Amino acid sequence: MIFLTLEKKKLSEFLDALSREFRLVVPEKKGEKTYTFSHYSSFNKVALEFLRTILPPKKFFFLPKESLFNIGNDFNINSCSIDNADYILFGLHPCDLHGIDILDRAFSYKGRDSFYWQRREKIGIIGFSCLPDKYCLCKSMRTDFIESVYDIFLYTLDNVYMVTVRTALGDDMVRLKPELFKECTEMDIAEYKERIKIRDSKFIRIIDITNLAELLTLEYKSEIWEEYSKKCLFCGSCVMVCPTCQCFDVYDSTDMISEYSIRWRRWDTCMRKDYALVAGGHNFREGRAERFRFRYLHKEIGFGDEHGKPSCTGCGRCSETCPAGIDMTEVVRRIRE
Amino acid sequence: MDKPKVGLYSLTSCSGDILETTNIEEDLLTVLKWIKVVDMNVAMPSTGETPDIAFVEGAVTKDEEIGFLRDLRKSVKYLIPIGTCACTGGIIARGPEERREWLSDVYKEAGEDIALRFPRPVREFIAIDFSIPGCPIDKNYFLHCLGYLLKGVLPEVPNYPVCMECKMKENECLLHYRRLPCMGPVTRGGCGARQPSFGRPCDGCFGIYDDANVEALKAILKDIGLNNDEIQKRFDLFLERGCT
Repeated sequence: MIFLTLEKKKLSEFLDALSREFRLVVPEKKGEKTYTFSHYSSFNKVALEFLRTILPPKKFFFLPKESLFNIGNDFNINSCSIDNADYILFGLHPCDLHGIDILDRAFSYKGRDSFYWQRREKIGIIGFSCLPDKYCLCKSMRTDFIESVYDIFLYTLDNVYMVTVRTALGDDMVRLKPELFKECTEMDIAEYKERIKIRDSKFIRIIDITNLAELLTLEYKSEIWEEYSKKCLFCGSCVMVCPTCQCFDVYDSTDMISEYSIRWRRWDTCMRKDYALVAGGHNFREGRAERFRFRYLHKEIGFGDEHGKPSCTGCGRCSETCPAGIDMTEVVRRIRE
Repeated sequence: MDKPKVGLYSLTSCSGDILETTNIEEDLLTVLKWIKVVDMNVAMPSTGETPDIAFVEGAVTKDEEIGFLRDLRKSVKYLIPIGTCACTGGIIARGPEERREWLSDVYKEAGEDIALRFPRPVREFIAIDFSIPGCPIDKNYFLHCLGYLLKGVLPEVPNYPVCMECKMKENECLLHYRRLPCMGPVTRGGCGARQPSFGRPCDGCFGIYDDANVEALKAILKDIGLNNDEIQKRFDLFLERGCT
């Protein structure tokens, strides 16, 4: 790991250089209040002020919908070749980096998911520091720092970015324009330390996740689940935007046009009634309250049992996105009370 | 082997659904490699042959339409209502009480002579195999279903809300961020979030999906400033008459 600095006004030169060598993806403004990771077109469209995009970066390697293989009229199975997936994703905050770490674990648990990894392995990542808003829970979820996943990470200081170079790919990126980067000075280091303190003081919401798995188990029969399930639309928005939700449905289509039958996988959600429906008509989670509860249990307990940490990264997307205004911190607070 | 014969028939409707099937344009010739169209009144004269697969658009408003449907059902392998009117009665099945008044408003004296049955969906008169909702239907989903039928398999009907497809397209939520009365959260998906992708709130033309939390959406619509009347109107348009 090496530390360098990049003058803020030189960032455009660096991104331009990157975009000539790689498929660069950057945060851009989407609507009035939302952002999205999009293909880089020009520096003045890069939304450095963004906090969270509608969809997390998982959309680049765990696609909303992808074909797994197809079968032609000759009954041969053809694997679907992947498109150009060698992206450099710029601007990922620590929560999203943790989200990728969690997906990496999920898609390698008891066997590697080749569809995930054939894209994931080609992707380079540039982390980017941020200041929290009222939905940010990374401090509470202990995901406000990360030492893995990224290739380089940019910390915003007053006049420069402090650049952490972690991998060989990160080194390659920096070497595209070595003249832009300087050694870290003692003043930079002091400023970095100061910035971390400032960020720590800016968290608006803090939740206590100590023994949360136990509390959720103890409150399995709580009335809270029933109450929230009346308010919840079960629209699946929270799942689609979650950086760690990884469930998918598998289905086939027979396409008259291409003369292939295609097997697809598409994002799915445990909030959906048919999700836990099995052959014979039994449904493991038919009731709405059961489904509402399940998502919390899986984030905190289900994933934690296997991987030793909850699979919520505190990015705040579910709380910000929910059309019914259900706030995950509120649910957790009420469980604790 | 002879190509499977397909017929597209209109009951009382705007013909929008059959018209939509002609919009496959660039793929039309490929599709015609696999099927023979025997009836499609917007595009060709009938060949007089009996189809294997019949698609029916429009609501039932006349007695002769009931007889037509019963005969058709006896002769075809698959009968599939297409479009919202055929699936639920559609837009024309609004206002059972105000109907008389509307007719005389629009058609003046001539309206008094219009003696139509109240528009009803196809499935109330004959057995259907499944239905393809939408106002109009989605041409790609129509092709998807046709592909299944040609292989002798009934396609799965999407049973998830429009929101899921809307999020996958990464649209800014119209209900949440722009406080527009979007019916996406209770509406059956399958259209690829057609309206929200163009910044227009979903009107619910695919009907309510099986697990829709209607009360929760009504509470939100109230919260964004709609009164009870306005909320009822939103549901009256397509949704309150059930689903496919």
